[in-house]
Amino acid sequence: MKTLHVLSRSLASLLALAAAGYAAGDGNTDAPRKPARAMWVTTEALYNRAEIERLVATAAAYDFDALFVQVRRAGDAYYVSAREPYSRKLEGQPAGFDPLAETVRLGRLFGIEVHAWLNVNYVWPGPDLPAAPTHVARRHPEWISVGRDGRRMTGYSRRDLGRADAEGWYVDPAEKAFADYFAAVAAEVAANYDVDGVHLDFVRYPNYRFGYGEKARRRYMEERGAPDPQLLGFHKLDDGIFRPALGAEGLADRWYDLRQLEWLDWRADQVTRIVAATGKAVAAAKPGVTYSAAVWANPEHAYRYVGQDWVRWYEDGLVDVIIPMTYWGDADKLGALASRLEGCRPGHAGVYLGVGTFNHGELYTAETVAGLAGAPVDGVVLFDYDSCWAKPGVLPALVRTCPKEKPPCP
Amino acid sequence: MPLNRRFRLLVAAAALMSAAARAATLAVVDGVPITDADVAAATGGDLAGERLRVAVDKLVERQLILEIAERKGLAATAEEVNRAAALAAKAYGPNRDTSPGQFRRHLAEEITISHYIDLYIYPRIPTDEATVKAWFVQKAPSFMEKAPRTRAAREEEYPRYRNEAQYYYVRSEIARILGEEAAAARKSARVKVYVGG
Repeated sequence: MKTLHVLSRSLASLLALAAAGYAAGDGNTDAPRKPARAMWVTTEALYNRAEIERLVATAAAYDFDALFVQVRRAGDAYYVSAREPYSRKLEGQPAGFDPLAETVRLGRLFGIEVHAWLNVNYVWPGPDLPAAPTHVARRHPEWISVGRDGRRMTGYSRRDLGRADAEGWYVDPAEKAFADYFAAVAAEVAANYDVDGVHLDFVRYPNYRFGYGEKARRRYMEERGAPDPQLLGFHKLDDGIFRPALGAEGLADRWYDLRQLEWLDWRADQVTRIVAATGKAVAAAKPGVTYSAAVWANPEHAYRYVGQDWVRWYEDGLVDVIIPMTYWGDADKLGALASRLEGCRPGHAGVYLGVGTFNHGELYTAETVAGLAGAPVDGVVLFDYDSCWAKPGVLPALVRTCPKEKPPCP
Repeated sequence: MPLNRRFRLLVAAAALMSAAARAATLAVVDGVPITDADVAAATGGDLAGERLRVAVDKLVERQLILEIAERKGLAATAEEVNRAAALAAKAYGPNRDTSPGQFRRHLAEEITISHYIDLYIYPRIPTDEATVKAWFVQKAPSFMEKAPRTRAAREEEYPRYRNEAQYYYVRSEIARILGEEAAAARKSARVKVYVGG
């Protein structure tokens, strides 16, 4: 790690000179386009100015094109906002310290795109209330999701949250007012900062166990003319739906299956509504800004478990770039997913693949990225900067193996 | 005849017999045949013996329930079938178990039966708290693994299991009523089963 520290410091000073001449676009639009090389950067790298300088210098040293920088982690802001509370993690920093502004300023200097990464439905780790009175969970506790056991997440202990496989409190995606609220949060960032993109994460349900608030259920029953989804709470839909149901018991299960499909579709619509509304608000605030979302990699799992119908977002162009988080797959699987998305189809979103560096050995990333050479992806995003820093072999290996050009569209 | 030619003929004959066996009619319900291709589609494998007999019996029951639903004029529309097929594909990816035609056919039948349950079965099931609780305390099935064993404990811990109990209760009631209706229909239907004792 020490070697990397020294390397990045010396390279930073050299690159500062080189970057001074770098223009955001060189005007040569006919040049072959290499897949974008990007990293997700969590808030830990934004706690002070020195960390941000180290971040951008490292990204420049290893020829990164873009940084997805987490500036809304848990309903708090790592920027100056009129809508959300300034993060308490930044207490003690000089007055006016604005991590997003600083990252954008340095990113411009080095020709590195900066995308503002906003966690959407996940708003607080719980189980205690956030201290800031302006936090969304304090202003609108009624928006926090309700489990199928009828309890709101705000009443869950740490143990309850763990047993329910939830990272913390989520706003229920079916809460209509939240879609407008979050769209305004994202538009504020796009309008006030010279960011290259707005990037959504945690835009989803925590999992299938949540989203059973009375208001949501009532709206579902009205809109779909269906029975109370509470009734479906323990029904495990599986791919047996492709086989004829056997006997009275099988048909009873199938009755549930068909209702479950409807409920899943409605839930996915709630998430999609947030994505669409936010995209519209961001585009209005800053035309041309890149709008992207990180999603669960397996499209069917994403749809069933957390309500992410991201193939629809991709196909309908609701986002400019879709980023499946393929942390657990090998290169072949990632390539297959990229091919399935047919990233070259006009009118569709671009595809970046998220590659995990936090959960693999140092050479894994390099091998994985090298394995993507033939896949029609538009970019690779590493998760995350901190783990790259902790494993000094990752970045040099990546430089050697990252595809130099995107394969031509068929 | 050379040995290898005789062997090839034997293999061809076996294949023909196997194909004939696959198309064999195992039961007939009011003129509608149930073949072992239907069993294979429903179970995913070639069954024999008791397991085959049980599967055929369930397919007969399915056909009888379908006929009841069809007599009520509740046939699924093409639009409903398209929608359900699209939602299933979204949730599980491309159909892997049966051909698209076969899948759409059984889906249409199941949507028809589902309409019947919506209109004639589900409304007959009392779902008030007292009924569900009584069912849970007295009959909570063994597959509700975490449910307390004793009635007294179930009585006390019911609030924790309320939703789960409601789900299993409604499911078992739908199955019970459908089963009874199929059994009643079977008395007047023309049913012939060619497997088992």
